[in-house]
Amino acid sequence: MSKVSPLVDGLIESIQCLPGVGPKSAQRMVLHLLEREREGGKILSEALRLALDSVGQCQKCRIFSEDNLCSICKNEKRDKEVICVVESVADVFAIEQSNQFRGRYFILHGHLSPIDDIGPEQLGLNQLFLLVRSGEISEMILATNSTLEGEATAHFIYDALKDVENLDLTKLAQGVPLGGELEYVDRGTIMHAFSGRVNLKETI
Amino acid sequence: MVNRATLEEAFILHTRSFKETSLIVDAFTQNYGKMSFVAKGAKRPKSGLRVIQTPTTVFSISFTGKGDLKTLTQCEIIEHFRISSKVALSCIIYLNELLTKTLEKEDPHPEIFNQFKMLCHNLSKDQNQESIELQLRSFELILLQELGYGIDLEKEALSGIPINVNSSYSFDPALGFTKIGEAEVELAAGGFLGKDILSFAKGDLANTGSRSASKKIMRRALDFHLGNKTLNIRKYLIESGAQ
Ligand SMILES: [Zn+2]
Repeated sequence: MSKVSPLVDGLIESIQCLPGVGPKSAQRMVLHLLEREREGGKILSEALRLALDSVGQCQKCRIFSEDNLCSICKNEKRDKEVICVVESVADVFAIEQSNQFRGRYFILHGHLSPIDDIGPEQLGLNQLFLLVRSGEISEMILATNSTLEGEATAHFIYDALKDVENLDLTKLAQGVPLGGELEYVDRGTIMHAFSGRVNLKETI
Repeated sequence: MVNRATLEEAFILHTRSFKETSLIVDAFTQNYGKMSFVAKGAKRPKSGLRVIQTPTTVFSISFTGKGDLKTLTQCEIIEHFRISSKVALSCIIYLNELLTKTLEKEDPHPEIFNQFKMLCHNLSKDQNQESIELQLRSFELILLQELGYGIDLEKEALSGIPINVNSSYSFDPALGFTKIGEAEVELAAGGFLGKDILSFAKGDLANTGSRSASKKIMRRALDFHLGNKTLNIRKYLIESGAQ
């Protein structure tokens, strides 16, 4: 570590809050900014300050947004009646990339996890239930991860909403990945794919 | 302290993200008890350790490393229990939290492990609320027994006099049962009927009295053993069998 100036040392220290950035790469980044990229560094620090000061959560879907409503919720072309519940914003990015889904989202920012003391409140479930009871949702897709806690979260939501009239509750299908050769698929997925197999006479 | 093991049976109690693609995994192993591992790269699509997040599964794992946090080197599925009901799923989450908070690190408890495995197997088959509750209570009894805090459901604590069907008892988790009166007299707050305690001892929770008594007894005993730790699941899943 440098120990040349408190400001430089402080910057090297603080940049390590980024994922995957250890002391060595922090040092490299800081030297790069100071030696060659002062202009870019200023833009970065301004963008960082602005985003951290003003980005909160969309009131409707809890995605990160500096406005009350995010651009997905504001988009009139998107289907208001279908809502996809996911654990993280990264899941939204993944689904958006597929261009498959034209509804809206609800982001839990986590999953039920008693060991970590994360309950329905932190996941915004009351807000989600209110949204459903406002009556404009016709289908809710539970797209939580297929981990124990993800499944439990989906069950919890399902249980709370199963009696709501005119609401379809669906879950993403699980199975062999597209373009995947069976030989290389992990056993857990194969087992799931087997127990969720579909009748060809009905589907083809 | 064990430095390496191969093909050790294990359940995963808890995982959390670590750096970008790795996981910190708390596991309950058959022969070494509760342990923590780092599963490097386990979130990468092609990682062999990726299966570690498959829920309700017995794994065969290999690991190396000194100290508290070992490195997971291999992980394969031995048996996957398909748990589909909410009650059974809540039970597993409850049991994971219970084991996380009661077991000490690297304190081997093969008997608890085997009982837990059997319980998971049964939960994947049995959806009957009464039998699920009975199995949970039995597991809790064995857990406390194995940890050295067994409860005698058939005898009074100090005198050793057999519990009587027609009497009522108080329960002190540190001690056990003490007779407080006859059952015909109205049951004092926090008291238990001899007949309910004895049905629980026999594994018969068919009537609501013994079912509710067994739940209260085990809850008091577990709370005592947990000390200042609390089981958070009780806050969330109020109607589940875990309650
Ligand atoms: Zn939004």
